[in-house]
Amino acid sequence: MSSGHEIPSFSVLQLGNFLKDGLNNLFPQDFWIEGQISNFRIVPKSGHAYFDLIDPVSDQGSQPMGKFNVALWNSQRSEIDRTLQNKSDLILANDINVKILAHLDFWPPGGRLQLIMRDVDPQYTFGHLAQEKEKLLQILKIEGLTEKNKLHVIPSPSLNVALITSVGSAAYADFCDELLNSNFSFNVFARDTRMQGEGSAFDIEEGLQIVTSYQPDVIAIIRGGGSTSDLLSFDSESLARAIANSSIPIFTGIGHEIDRSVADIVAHTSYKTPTACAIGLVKTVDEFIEKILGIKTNIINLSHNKISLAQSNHVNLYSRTVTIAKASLFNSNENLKGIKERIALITSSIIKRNENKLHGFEDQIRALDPKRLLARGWSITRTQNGEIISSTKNLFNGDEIETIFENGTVKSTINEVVK
Amino acid sequence: MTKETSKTDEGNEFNYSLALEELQEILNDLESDQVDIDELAKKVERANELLQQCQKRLTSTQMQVEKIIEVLNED
Repeated sequence: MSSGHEIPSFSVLQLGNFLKDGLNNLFPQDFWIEGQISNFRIVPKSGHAYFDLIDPVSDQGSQPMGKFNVALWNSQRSEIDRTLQNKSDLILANDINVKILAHLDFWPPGGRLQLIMRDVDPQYTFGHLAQEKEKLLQILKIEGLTEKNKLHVIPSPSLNVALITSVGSAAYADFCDELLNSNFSFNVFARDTRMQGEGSAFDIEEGLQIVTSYQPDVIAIIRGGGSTSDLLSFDSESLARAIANSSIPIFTGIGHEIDRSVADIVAHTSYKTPTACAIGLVKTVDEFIEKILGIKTNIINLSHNKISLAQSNHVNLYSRTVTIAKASLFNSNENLKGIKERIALITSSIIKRNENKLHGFEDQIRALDPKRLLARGWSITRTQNGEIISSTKNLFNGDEIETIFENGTVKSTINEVVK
Repeated sequence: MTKETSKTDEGNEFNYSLALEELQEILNDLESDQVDIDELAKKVERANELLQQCQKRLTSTQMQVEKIIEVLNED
């Protein structure tokens, strides 16, 4: 070792302890630190939990800008869990953002710088999640994705149901029981899917893609209730987009007590439990049957109306026919009677007229009859040749003539012609 | 047969409205003052014949109608 710029020299343990003491001096008290949980694990034997607290990353898989190892001793873990559970229905899990109270420590045996977690601020995580969710909802709303799946018309009846859930879970059993009890012939195609934990949102998306190829009437995404952390995958942006853009209407039945998940909001219809979701599906079939029965009743009523209308028309027509037929017969009879009377009248008037004419002739003829003149004192004078004498012109003394009276003839000789 | 009689008697079917038409023609002739006495009896006889046929048709139609109404009433 040389004087002046003496270079320190340590054994490993010495450096470790030196560093540990130095850190204790630098951070004598516990402090709050905010970050995102990654790589969370619990060692079963000891019950201690370990995770990485990282600078939040937006993309899965990208390298964080900063990272600390965190140790949470078993002795404190149950209390911290209880705090989180009670105050915000959360548990420590990957991807959630936390604000933890910690002590920075160097552990010489492991050569590891680590934060020893002592407490957690549940409000921070809860607020952060709510904020993230609100931000995502705003984006989806602006893009019209919160309403997009709701535009699909539910086929009536919806009997072909694709189900995305953890097959064998209580949620699955409740859902299937409800459909079975309805006695409708539902055809359920279930896609067994992990419904919580890391990557579950991706699994659900994959399930959606697969069941869509079967062209079901509706897709139901169901799971039973759980903690906020259990249900975090239902607030995932990519799952929300997959649901919104699905060509099939999507029903959700995700057990929750207070808050609706983003998946619920973008789905066609959301229910609070798997059972409620199944009841909703049964209801669509009930409504269909009701509609059919309504149509049937309408057909029956309309038919009855038509028949009674036809019957009343028939009665009406019948009485009109009878009335018209009777009136027509009566008119025809009257008409014939009229014709008969007119013929009789005209005929007798014609005969009368002709009789009068004859009488006229008779009178005229009678007036001209010479016998009537002779009777009144007139006489007719003729020559011997029978020519009627109407002038003295050709008469001479000594001519023989005959004069005809009403009752006889006188023959005489002319003595003198006076001209 | 005269031309007038052939109008309604042609074929076997008696036609009420044709008979009425012919009756009207006869009436017109009679009313026109131009009827010949020689034709008068013939015309009146024809008219009578037509009237009888019409009356016969009316009576039989009435009977038919009454029969039909009776059947309708039974239903």
